[in-house]
Amino acid sequence: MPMLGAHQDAAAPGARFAGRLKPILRRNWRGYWLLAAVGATALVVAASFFDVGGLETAASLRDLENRLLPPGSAGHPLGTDGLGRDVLARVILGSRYTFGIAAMATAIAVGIGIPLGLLGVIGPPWLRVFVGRFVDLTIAFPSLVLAIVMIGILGRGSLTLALALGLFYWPLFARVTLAQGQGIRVQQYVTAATLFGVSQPRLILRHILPGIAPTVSVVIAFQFANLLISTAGLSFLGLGPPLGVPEWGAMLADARGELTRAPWLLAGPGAAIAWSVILANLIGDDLAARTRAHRRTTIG
Amino acid sequence: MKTLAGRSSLEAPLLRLDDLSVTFAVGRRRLQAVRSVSLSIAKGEMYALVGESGCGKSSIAKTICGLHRPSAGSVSLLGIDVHAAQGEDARTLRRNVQLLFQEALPSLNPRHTIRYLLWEPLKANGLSARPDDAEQAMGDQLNAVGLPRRALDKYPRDFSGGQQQRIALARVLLLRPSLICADEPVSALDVSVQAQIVQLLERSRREQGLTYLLISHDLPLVSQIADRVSVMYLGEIVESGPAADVVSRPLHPYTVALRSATPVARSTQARRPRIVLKGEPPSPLDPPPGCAFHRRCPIARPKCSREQPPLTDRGRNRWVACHFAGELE
Repeated sequence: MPMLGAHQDAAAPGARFAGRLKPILRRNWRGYWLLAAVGATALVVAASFFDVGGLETAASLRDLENRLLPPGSAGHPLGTDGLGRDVLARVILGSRYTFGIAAMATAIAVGIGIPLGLLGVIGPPWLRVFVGRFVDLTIAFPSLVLAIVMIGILGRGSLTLALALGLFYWPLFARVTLAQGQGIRVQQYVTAATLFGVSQPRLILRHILPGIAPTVSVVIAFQFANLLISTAGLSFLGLGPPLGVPEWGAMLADARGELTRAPWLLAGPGAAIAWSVILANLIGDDLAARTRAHRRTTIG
Repeated sequence: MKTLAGRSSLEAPLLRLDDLSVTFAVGRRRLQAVRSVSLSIAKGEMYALVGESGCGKSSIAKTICGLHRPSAGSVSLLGIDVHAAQGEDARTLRRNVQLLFQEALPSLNPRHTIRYLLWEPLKANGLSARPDDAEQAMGDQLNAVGLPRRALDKYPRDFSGGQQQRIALARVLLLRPSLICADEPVSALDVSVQAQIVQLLERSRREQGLTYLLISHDLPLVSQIADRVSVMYLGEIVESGPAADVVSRPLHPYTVALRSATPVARSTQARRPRIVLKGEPPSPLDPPPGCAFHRRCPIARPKCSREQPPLTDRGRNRWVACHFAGELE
């Protein structure tokens, strides 16, 4: 709503932005650690996307003289893999694929699930029932198996993997949107807005979405962690990006072949997966805690 | 068909209910919340509907605002049928009839500032061409209901119950409606605050020529500010007439009982014997035969359980639906 925003900014420049930032910055020591961890991880992911310091070259450079070097070797802090490629470079570059695919899959799932859920919230009762049953039906299918079938048909690749995961992981978002949205829909302020003749898009954007945002953001964080594991898992099975791409799951699969000679190869990608999943879960917990705190202050 | 309950003005009524019935489905059964109610309200009038919880008075307000559809009969405002209106007519009606909720806080989205909450209805009705105009009008309206302009930057929870009701009223008044249906607008407030809100309603009626349909169960309040009143029981009007008359000299035994439930200060008025009604109001899912009130009526006779009394003219604009009207003092 441009008019009021513009006006408020004119009245108190910057105050609004600072107001928004305050709840994010006002944290306890645990929050600061989380913020630091998220920041550091974001830097690494950004580095992988922008190919900082010739990551791509370093990750694909084969040095057959120096295969399976142990961690701590000169020039190779995490050692080298079976083809003599630098493991550290590959782990860092891997975040581009694992994070990227998981994020894209989450975006697809959110993009399908939330609009579908909203349709059920604002639509006529039969549509609500229909969306609900459709969600139940989709949840009843084993989503991972369907994703595998789809990749089998379309052929492997980063985009295919993201699409396959996204297309089968949306029901949770639809269900949460439907349930939470219905709770908001019956609020008196929504009735009041309807009586005032507020348009449907505005009703969704200004009343329903802000109402479900706290819960949905928690679900997004947890579902991202889920999808990250699925991404790595399917790549591990050879259903991810093409051969040679340093996706973490695929790296684990490569490392498995060298398990007896170089067991440390599992450590890099394994730790990266664990770190990311734990981080996403901690963010989810933090968001959930904040939702609870918000409820306390608004209802009390 | 029942006759219109009272007419005080010669001009065409602003609001007219003709044989209005509202029915809800409860499982497989049908609950008749409003049973062929007819009334008309003139422009500038304060018309009150009183009765105990569940008598259908809120259902009438919601039907007028378009939240429920009538199962029979019609509602017309400004000569337009509310539930058949399309396009431009529907838009005009929507702006012209507004609902004031019993509790203001749940009707104000806690996530938005008062500025946004006041502006949204203006925007929806195409009334804020320029942001600065809206800003001025919103500030003025807040001042008019006794709140400072800086309230615009705050959130609903920053205000007390009375102030929240002022904000809700300001939001409705900004739309310059013809009719405001106020559904127990003060019953959730402290008595001292009630008087202030009532004054605001009165003033807006006087200054803007507004018409009010006041839903209440507070007879003293009604006799003080309403022009006319209809008393409802189980979805029907049982008595109607000039508010002061009906409250001071009720003719229907139910109105008498309602009045006797109000505490009276000993010095100002003689104490009346208290009539305590027996039992709960009958279920609208299963209305009793004959007069709906006969099972709780202190003067019920055999005829009352057989024949339903029609709403009849008792002169001086008084209408009563009772076989033995005026017998209970």
